[in-house]
Amino acid sequence: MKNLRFLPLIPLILGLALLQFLVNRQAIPSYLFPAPYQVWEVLMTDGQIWAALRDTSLNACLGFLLTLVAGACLGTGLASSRWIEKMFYPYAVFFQTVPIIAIAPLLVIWFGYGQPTVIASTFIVSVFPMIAATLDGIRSTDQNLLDLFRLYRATRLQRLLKLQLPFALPSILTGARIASGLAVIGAIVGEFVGGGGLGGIVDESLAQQRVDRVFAAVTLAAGLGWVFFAVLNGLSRVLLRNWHASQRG
Amino acid sequence: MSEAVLKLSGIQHSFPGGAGQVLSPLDLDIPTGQFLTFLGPSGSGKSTILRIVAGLLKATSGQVQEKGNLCKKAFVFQDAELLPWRNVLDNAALPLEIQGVDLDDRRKAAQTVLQDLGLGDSLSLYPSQLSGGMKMRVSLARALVTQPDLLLMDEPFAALDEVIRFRLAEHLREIWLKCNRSGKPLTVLFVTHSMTEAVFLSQRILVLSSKPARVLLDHTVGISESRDQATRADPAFAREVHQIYSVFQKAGEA
Repeated sequence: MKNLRFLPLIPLILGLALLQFLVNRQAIPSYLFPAPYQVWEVLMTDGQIWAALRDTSLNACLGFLLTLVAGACLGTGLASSRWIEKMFYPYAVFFQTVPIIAIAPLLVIWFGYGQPTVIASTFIVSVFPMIAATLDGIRSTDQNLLDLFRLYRATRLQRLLKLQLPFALPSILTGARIASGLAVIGAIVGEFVGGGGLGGIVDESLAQQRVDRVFAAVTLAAGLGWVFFAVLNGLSRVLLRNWHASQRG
Repeated sequence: MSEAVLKLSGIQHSFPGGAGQVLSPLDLDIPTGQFLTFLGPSGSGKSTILRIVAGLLKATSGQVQEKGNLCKKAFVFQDAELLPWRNVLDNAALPLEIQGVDLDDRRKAAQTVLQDLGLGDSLSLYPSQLSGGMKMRVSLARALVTQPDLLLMDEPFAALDEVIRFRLAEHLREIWLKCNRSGKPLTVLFVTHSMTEAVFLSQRILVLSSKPARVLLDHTVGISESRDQATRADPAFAREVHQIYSVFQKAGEA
């Protein structure tokens, strides 16, 4: 079974080889699609792009942390009563439906160039799955267990900390995994308008028609999203290791 | 018999919406330390009675009076309902934790109960590592850890294999007898639809009709209190089961 994890590499290598072959034969013009080797060269020689990766990683991490904390708190708040849920949930959906591209320039006006705009954009794009997953998880707490806590006269806080939040954990972690991918997208969008990072590099290289550099930046951004996802997967596995298989994320 | 630990007067219940009336008016005195079983077909409102007594459900009308209003209750559900993120020891200690008992004290108390139930070697296992019977034992330990006066059990063994069911029933009787002999009487209200289980466990059986539940028979079990696996092969045991079966037949339930 262990060797199967390398299987996804086969289509990757074949695909890259095919692309390199087509570009070499000039079947695809290199201003539309750069040869994989050109992208590789950019990655090996361009120091700026790695500095940009560092900035994007930092801002995406900060925005994602904000999403984790605020999303879990907002979800818990919404779950605290049907009234509050009915009153505020439609506004939480706003985060899901807001066309981030359209309001991104506004973020620059509100928060200024650079980091604050990128973090805000990351947050707006990624927070909804976290809110929804927390709310769902808490709402699905087993009724018999809620009754048990009532029978022993548990306080609301005890019920939340010892029952509802742990019970919601698998759901919260699923939400966090979805949010982690969105966080990188949100950071790149923020950088498009706010400048800096991989988004800034993409924007700048497009203007210079440096398709190879665009691809290098996009590759790193996608890789960053993948790392986020993998870290969260590992975290889920550690946190849920004692749960029943069916409840594992 | 000693004085009533629990007195139900005119308890009635209907669920709003389609389900209609589930309990006809029920009057019942339950003496301290009694093992009382509610026996009836599925959906007859047996669980509703338990939930009303537990205070988890408010009866549409009628009253539940407890002796001194300070009766300590515990509830065991049909499923073990353990917390999957806690090991056996901390699952059993949960009620004490909610009540604010120190970590050391509550773990010690939980360990004692778990050892009595034959789980002394499994304290650090998680629910996902336990068999159905072991999970139910942990659930029972969690109920007993507060040393309750009143133990409410809602078809706790219904989902288990018969062999395990028999063993757990024997174990439950031992625990109940031990509590009553030690001067800390344990009253048990047990719900089941199994006639043999009811006869084996109980001092008294209330046979209920199907919905809306009314009492078809208030029966005192006539076999000796010292019961073990051999009891199930005793002709007296078979006669008791038959007697209850014929009540269901007469009422047109069977």
